[in-house]
Amino acid sequence: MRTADNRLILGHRISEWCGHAPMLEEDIALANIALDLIGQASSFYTYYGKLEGKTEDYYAYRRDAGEFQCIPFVELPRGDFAQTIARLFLWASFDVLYLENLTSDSDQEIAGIAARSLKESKYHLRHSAEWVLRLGDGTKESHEKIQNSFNYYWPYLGGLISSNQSLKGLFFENVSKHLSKATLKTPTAELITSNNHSEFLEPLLAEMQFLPRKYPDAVW
Amino acid sequence: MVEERIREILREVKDPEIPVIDCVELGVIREIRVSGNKVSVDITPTYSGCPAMKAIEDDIRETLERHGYKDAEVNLVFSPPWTTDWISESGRQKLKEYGIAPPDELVQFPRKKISCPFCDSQDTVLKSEFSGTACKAMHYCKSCLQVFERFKSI
Repeated sequence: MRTADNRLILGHRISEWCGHAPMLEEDIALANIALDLIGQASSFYTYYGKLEGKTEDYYAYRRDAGEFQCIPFVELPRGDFAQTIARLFLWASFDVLYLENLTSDSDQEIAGIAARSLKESKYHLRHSAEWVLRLGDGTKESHEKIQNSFNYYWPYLGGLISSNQSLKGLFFENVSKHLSKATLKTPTAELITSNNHSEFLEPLLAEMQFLPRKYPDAVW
Repeated sequence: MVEERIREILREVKDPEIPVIDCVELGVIREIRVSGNKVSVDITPTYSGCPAMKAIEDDIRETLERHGYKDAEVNLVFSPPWTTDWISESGRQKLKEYGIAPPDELVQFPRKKISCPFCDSQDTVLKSEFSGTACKAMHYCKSCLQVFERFKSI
């Protein structure tokens, strides 16, 4: 459930760029990535829903912050474009490993959802990795902005890797290799291990859930 | 065989985003089961967030109902995941005629030269890995100066 909630909330954050991205191609790319993440959440919710007798909409729209299991890493505001790219790169770097692992899950349906999501995640990783290179090895300003963004998100990686500690080594190795390629420093800040929600989740839910909460009979 | 007949009926269900190809050519139909007048169809979704999938699902039910198969069941099957390798030869041809470069055989990171669907030139560049829908990337042809979309190979 945590992985589904993470996908929904991060997808929502990235979708906030729709119509606001620095250029048209990037607007489309971010909207597509958000759609992938929300779609992945939907597949997982549908799967759990069958076990618990609930619909995917219940999980997305009828739960309060306390019932969500997402981690602060995905809840934090989208920030500027550098912040969005830094977080997406860190997320996708971990997610590719996480999903690869999940494709051998004993549950065929989970393994299937993971295999399909993995194809999408590889695109997210490649796209964000290219931007990390461009921004890191770009101008002085872009370099500073993307470095600050990595410094900002770094401590919250504690929550991300907590879902599968065995992938930690490879994840940090991959990330720091790419950061040095982009002339960036790998932050050394200590990781936060608490997964308590940040103060940013409730306002996000208020916006996302407004319509079905206000008009409970509304249908798609 | 009645399954074959159902398959023919399903050819009426087009991809709402790319209306020249049908759901059989798209390769999403996994299995068709018939018992009496009750039809059940297994489909494999393409992309997680593809809104066309829901439309295709509903359209399958409506089309079967129109042909007298009431209350058809449509099940989503996730494993194995859909791949562009399942798009049929006729589907690929229709994509090209529609102005979308068809996917090539599966490679993890497609980096080879893509032919322009309009003038067949290979002098093209990738503009963005993402385009108007999740399944396509944006390319530019330096010969005919035309932006075109390509079905990503996944």
